[in-house]
Amino acid sequence: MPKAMQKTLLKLGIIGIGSLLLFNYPLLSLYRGTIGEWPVLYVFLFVLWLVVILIARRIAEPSTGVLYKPNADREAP
Amino acid sequence: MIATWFVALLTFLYLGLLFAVARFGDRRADAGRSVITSTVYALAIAVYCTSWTFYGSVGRATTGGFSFLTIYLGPTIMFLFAAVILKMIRVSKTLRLTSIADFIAARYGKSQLLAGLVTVIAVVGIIPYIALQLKAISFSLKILFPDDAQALIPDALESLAFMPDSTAVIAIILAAFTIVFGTRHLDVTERHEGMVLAIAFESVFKLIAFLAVGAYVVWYLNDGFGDLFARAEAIPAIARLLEPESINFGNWFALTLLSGLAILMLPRQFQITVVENVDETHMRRAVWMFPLYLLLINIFVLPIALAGLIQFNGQPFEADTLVLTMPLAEGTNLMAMLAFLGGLSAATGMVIVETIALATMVSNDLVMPILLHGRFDFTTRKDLSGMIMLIRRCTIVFLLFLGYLYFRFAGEAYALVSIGLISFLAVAQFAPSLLGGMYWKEGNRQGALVGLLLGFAVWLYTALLPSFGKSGWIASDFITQGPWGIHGLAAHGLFGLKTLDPIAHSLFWSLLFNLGGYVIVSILTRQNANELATASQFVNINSSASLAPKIWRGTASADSLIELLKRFLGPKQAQSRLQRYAKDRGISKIGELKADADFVMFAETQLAGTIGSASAHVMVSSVVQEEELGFDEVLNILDEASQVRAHSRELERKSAELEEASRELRAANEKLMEVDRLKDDFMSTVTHELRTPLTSIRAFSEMLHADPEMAEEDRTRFLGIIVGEAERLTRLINQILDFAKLESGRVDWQVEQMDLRELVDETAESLGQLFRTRGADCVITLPEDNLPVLVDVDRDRIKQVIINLLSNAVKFVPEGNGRITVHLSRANGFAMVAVHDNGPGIPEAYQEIIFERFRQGGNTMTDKPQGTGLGLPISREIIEHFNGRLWVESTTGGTSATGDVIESGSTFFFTIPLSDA
Amino acid sequence: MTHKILIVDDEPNIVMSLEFLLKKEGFQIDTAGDGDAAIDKVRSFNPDLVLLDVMMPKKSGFEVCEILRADASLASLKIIMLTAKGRDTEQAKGLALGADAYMLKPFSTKDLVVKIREVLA
Repeated sequence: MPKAMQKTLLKLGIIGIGSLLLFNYPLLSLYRGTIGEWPVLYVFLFVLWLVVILIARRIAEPSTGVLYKPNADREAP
Repeated sequence: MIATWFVALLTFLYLGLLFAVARFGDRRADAGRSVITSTVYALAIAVYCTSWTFYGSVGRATTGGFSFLTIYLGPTIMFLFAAVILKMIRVSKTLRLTSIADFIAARYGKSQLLAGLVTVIAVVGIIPYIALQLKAISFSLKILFPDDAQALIPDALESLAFMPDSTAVIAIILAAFTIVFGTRHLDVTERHEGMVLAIAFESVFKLIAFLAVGAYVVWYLNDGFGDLFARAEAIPAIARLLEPESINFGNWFALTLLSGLAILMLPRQFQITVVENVDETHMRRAVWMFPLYLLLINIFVLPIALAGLIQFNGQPFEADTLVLTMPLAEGTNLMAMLAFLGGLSAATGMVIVETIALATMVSNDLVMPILLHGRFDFTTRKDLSGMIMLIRRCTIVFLLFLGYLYFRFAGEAYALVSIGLISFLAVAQFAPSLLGGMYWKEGNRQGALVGLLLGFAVWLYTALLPSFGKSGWIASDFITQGPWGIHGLAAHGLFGLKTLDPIAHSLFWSLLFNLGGYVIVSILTRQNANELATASQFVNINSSASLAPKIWRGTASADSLIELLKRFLGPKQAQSRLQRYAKDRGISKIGELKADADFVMFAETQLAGTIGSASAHVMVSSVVQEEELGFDEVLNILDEASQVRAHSRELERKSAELEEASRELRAANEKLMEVDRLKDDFMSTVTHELRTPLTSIRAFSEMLHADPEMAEEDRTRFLGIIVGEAERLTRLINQILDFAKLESGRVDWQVEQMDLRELVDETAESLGQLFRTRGADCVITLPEDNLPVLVDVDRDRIKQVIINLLSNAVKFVPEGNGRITVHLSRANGFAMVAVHDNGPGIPEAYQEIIFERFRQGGNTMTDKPQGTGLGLPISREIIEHFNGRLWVESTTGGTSATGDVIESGSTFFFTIPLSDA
Repeated sequence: MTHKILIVDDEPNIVMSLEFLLKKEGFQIDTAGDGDAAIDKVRSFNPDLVLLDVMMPKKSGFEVCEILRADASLASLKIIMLTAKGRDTEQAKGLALGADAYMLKPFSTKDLVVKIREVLA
């Protein structure tokens, strides 16, 4: 398996383990109360979820997305 | 009120659309232009979301708060462990595995028994899930047409006594649709590109539908998220649902784990994620897009649930179908239609893929093996495919029938989600053997069998049976009290564990028994040869050479042929031959080779050289045409032919070891040859040295013997030469023997303490005659303190050294003008003797050579050697034996920078450690 | 007819013994102590036969043999090689280089004379 792929999978796996912790007890019990009218648990779960997804996307498919600008913008040397 | 015909029309339109999409996908696939992109792949995986998601999540949220979310967090996390999924895909592609039963069976030595067991568990386990979909559809229909229970049946037929209820009709329709959808033709790779495309489309549709309903509820029926949350917080009973306290963390974790396993083990998920995968790199997108889908479809679940709870504050209501009831209550029929179609779409998607996957398993892994055992006649292929088709279609009907039965007899009591979780629990039983099989080489067939059986049994008792009990079909005491009153065996409180809810409880015990059985039995029993090979293959799939190209679309690729060559010719051989082949065709890189007829021929002929032409032909054909003959079957043939049972990984490791060993061997061999050469040189030099004086001795002796009349003076001269040569010979032999003894350590050293001063004196005396003959002076200087210089040495040997040095000195000093000094001193715990002569000196280049055997000082090319050349080497051996050093400092003379004349001369030094006394 | 023999060896005692022996047998003798001297003597003395030692400083007997055989005008010159090295490979090498015979040291004087007469015949 190419080294790059191994690294990607490893990074993803680490995020996976991190998620296991993030979305479970005991961290889960910390998300209590409300922010304004929104329940913290709701906000946190979904926001963290989105963050994890975006990180995973960054790791797995770094070349796609709006943030990527190909070098065509630069002037020719 | 919505007209029946309108619903029916929309339904059929939608199903027709699905069908059209599937046909389109299939046609493109047949034309070789696959429609499966990474996005399609990722969306198709969302078939995971069924009517459970559509209806059940909201229902669950109203009672359990956030716990519904675990069903979607689990898969999110599991997909982050993409390495596991990728490994499953690779193994399946390499071994042409077509179902989860196939996978598990293949790992454990292709056990038919295991395959059958897995199939049975899968079928039994999924029945509730199918029932769940039927229940959802029937519910939604009831809601749309509350007054007309038999809404789907045309009025004319309603009066018929044996008419089944609407749910049965739905089941029949679904069965028919699935059969038409998925069993039109057989594909060797068991892929259905059209179906995948349709499922992806269906995923998009249900997402849009759900988001639409959600938006409707939040912003149309209410005043946005803030408003909903505020009102929810105002009601304590509801507010509590939103706090972490309401969560049972044990259950939370259990459900996360359970759904994480289910996303892999569910037959429909395995089908889409693994079997239907066309390109490994598609995983890159799936890793984040599928979780994103899950996130999106869940955003509105809680708000909708809250809206429902607020609306029906305190009163009981059917929570599962909120997405339908709310728009209907407001009269927004279009939204209600959309919701209905969404739910229907979700249910249909699940049923189609799940039943096709199960039908594949049943026909391939259950029925066919049984028929094979019964010595069924499989001569014509045409009959075969028709028969397989028939089996699959029957299976689909049978599955839906069973689903319907379960719905009738057990489906009433449970909420949708609970039913679904029972199925999750069933398929979770595959996890130990499957995941264990991929990462633990020692896992074996017996372990898998025992584990599966135990897990299945526990599941039956703690999960499935209670569902019958709760619906009233069997006595339900055993659930809480245990059978015959044995509390420890209570189905929902096994061995006294009552703190978990039924699902978590079941998960815990079933996995415990399953995993425990698997591990313990695997450790206690041994694998057979078959298993060893497959076990290695599975666990090491990423590092061993794989024959499957990365894109599996049934086309021949040069890559697989190249891999084949590498496997059988060895990488280097294959490389060089391929390069030559490529060069002949003007192609620079092997990777650019096309798998045309020429290349196939070439590959075949190359292989034929190694494995025989018949086998080569079989191998190449199977790779190129992807015939039914699986790669492992071919290998088995070849295995038997060549009696090679070791797996290639083992071979590769062994050959690497071998290379290392042979490299070392080569180095050792070269060293040996060098030593051998030296020995030869030594031997030939020795023989030469010995034979030369012998030649003179013999020649003169013969001549003297042959001629008694020889002149007196000649006779005297010749006899003198004979004597001289004999002496020379004796000296040489003695020295050689001496040297041999020293080198091999066989000398008898007589070590005693003595005063070096006396030794030096004695020796110099004994050589006095020699000095006088040469006209050389010899001066001895001793240390000034007049104390003895005590050393522990062998007297004779040290004498030998001094004699050697002195006689050398005498040999080289100029005649008549020779000056030799012997200087004895003490330094740093050593005694030092320096023998100096004013001879011609030794050029620097030769200063080490003279200590080598048979080497003489001076240009050996021009000067006739004087002596044997062994004296100095022997002396060095002796001195070094006593832990001393022997070396020379010498100059050949010349003029210094200041114009003074430097005399030539040599000084030989040797040191010996002083005695401790 | 008196044959001329050139003795080439770096051991003076051996040269002496051979000289004496062959003079008694009625040959005309000249000697050389090394390879270069040998080649010069061949040209000046013009012997019928050369007794050539192999192990010599400067030029070995093999080299001398090669050089002599390379000269077409010396085609009739007989060469007998003498050596203390007795391996088959050495013998084969010598014969391959064009020597007419090969004798091992120490040799029997009688055998040597017989061989010389053989070769000259």
